[in-house]
Amino acid sequence: MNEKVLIFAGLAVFLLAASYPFWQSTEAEDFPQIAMQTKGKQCVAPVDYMRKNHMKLLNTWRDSVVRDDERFHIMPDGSKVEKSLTKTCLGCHLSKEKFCEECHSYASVKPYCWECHVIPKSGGHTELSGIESGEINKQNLLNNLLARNQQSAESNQQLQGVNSD
Amino acid sequence: MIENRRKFLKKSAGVIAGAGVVSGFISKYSTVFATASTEKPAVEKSIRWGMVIDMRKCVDGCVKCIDVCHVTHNVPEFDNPKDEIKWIWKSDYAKVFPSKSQQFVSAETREKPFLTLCNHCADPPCVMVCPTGATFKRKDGIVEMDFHRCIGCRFCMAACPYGSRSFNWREPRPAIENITPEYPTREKGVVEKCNFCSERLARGQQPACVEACPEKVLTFGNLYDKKTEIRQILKDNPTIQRKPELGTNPSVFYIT
Amino acid sequence: MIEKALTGNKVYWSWVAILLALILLGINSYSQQLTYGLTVTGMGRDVSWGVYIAQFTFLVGVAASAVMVVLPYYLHDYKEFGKIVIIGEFLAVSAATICLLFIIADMGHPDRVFYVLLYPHPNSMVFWDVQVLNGYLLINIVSGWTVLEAERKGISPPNWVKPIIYLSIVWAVSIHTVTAFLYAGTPGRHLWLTAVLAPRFLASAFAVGPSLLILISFILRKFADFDVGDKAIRKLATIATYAAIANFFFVGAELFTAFYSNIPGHKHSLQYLFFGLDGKYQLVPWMWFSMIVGIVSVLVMLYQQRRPSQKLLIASCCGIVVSLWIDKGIGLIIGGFVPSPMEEVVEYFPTFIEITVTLGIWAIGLLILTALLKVAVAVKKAA
Repeated sequence: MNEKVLIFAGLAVFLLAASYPFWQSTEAEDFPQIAMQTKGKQCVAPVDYMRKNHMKLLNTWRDSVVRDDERFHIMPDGSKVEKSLTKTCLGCHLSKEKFCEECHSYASVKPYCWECHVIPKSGGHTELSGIESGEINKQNLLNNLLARNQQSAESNQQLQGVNSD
Repeated sequence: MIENRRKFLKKSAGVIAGAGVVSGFISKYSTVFATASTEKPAVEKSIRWGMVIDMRKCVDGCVKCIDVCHVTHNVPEFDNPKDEIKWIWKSDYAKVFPSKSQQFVSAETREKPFLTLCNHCADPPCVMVCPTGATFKRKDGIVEMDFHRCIGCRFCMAACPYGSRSFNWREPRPAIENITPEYPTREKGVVEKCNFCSERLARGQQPACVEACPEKVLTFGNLYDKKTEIRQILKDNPTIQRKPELGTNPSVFYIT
Repeated sequence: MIEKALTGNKVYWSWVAILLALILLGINSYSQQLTYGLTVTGMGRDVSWGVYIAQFTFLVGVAASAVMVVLPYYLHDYKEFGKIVIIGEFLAVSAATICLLFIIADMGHPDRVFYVLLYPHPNSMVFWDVQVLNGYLLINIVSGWTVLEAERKGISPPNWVKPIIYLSIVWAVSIHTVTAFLYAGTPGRHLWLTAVLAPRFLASAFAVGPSLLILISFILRKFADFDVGDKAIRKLATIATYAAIANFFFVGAELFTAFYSNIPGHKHSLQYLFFGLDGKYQLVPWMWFSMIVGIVSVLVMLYQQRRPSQKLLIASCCGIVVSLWIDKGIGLIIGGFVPSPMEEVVEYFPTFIEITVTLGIWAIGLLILTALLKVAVAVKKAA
């Protein structure tokens, strides 16, 4: 008799726990409307495709850039863009909070892109936009790096050459 | 049981034969791997990136190449030496070239800090041992890291004979002073090392360390192209390599 | 049959409670490790493998040692092992399980553990190790449980179990050989780059495993009123003795090769371990303790073969287990990283978190073993 009580009590606790997500949440909010503030004219793929498949696209880009060294995506009009989350995607879509987060927080999706990839400052445009590559920005890069180099050389002196043997 | 023993011996003979077939496949894998990394270039492989480090020109105390590399690639700087991450650094001759004679070495050689980095070996042991292919050899010879795939087992660190690899024992971002937004940081739990600036090579640029050196200590180029500067330097100067007896065939050469 | 593990006396439940407490402590520490990264351990850039991989290496040997009871019983009809075979198999199951747990504990990205299967790379020994270890686990749990269940029902085991048992004999050797190849194939570490590593691993495994089985037998005699039989214990002792002799012979051969050839790369790690290097000698007392205790234990074991003594047997079994745990785990793994490929001597010391996670995982293994043995003993006593 004791066993029956325990069994049914345990069953009840289990059912409550398993159904918790369904009865605890408030009514679902409306699907977020994303303010499409973009810099560029055209996304790398049609909007419908991107809504459903941007994860696949990003995975494909990731593998082709890292493993096959194929770094450029050909746009429909023939121009080349760099396959880059930071530089290309957010170069146009500008804000991680207003663009990515809007849908992701609604759907409770937590991709860990930004653990590693750097969130561009709001406004999105970094000193080295990936949309144009090659010679034009080379001088920028050098200046940028040498300026930073100066900073860390100074701090390195303070650490008294930790890097050399 | 005697019957079963006979059956067992027959079965093991079968298993061994089967293992022979399987190992044939595996040696096919390793043959593929080996031929992909022999000295003679295959028809489709026209690039093998390499580097010559002319230590005669390297200035003691100068760490510009190290700084540029670490800043460009968001390499963190930790207080605790066991957490250290370094892609390129300086160390003593005795430590960089332990297989060379250490007897009566000139004071200059003995005391000069030698530059050292990943050798991007043609036969990399790290690639051989990686269970997921997170470190792999590209067609142009660069031994690349795929941080998305690394499981952090650190077998590659055990296998590398040069100590070129570092592991992210903790979150790196708090220890990076100025994040370079064009290049990602890594997260805790993955191995990293010099990548011969593959992202810069894709843009037609020289590696950051090569460009930053004011003394032109570092020369970078295609080892398979006889007309490059690096091949000329290798032709004109005696060079040494780190631990050549291990058969790793490094792509980094030193002029001492 | 599993319900037999759910009944027990006060001693049994106190033991389970202690294990559960250790497991909880381990889980708490592991969550720290997941949050902050492996920096909470004592490992670093130069000694990049530590206690976790040391335990893994030791335990693969324990798992492989089941073959030392399975082979005589099933292939050579050594009936005296009738009561100990299932214990050996269940020891293999618990050891193999916590081997896998130690690997996961050591990983920087444990959430990516299935990448080893999703992106297979047969050139890597880790790939093969994962395959053979999981396979061995499956083989032993299936064959052990099936034979035990048949015994409980009073019938002979089904025919299909025999080939699986024969497979486990070959498989046992393979798991430890693959693990040895993991080390012996790396070109940069001269302590590991030796052909004798695989035979040495097997010898130490076959010394530790039977010693552990002897100790378990005495524990079962005392606490479970279950006797595997004096003949079985004596035979296990013989196996352990000669396997340990082989192991120390291999160690001696290594020392000779390194020091007689005088090649620095070969010598340095052994110098660090036994004499200290560059003023650092943290492991020297451990290694000498291991050697002395090990060799004395072998001699005592040999002695008590002629003049049987339970006390001496138990002492020497403990000695062999401790000695080879130090030798394989600490000596081999840590020693392989010193000096580093850059010829630097960096010492390693496990942290509190590392030790508690290790104890927690050991406790999981012991809990699995306890439960399985409780079932096995209950079935065998009723039979």
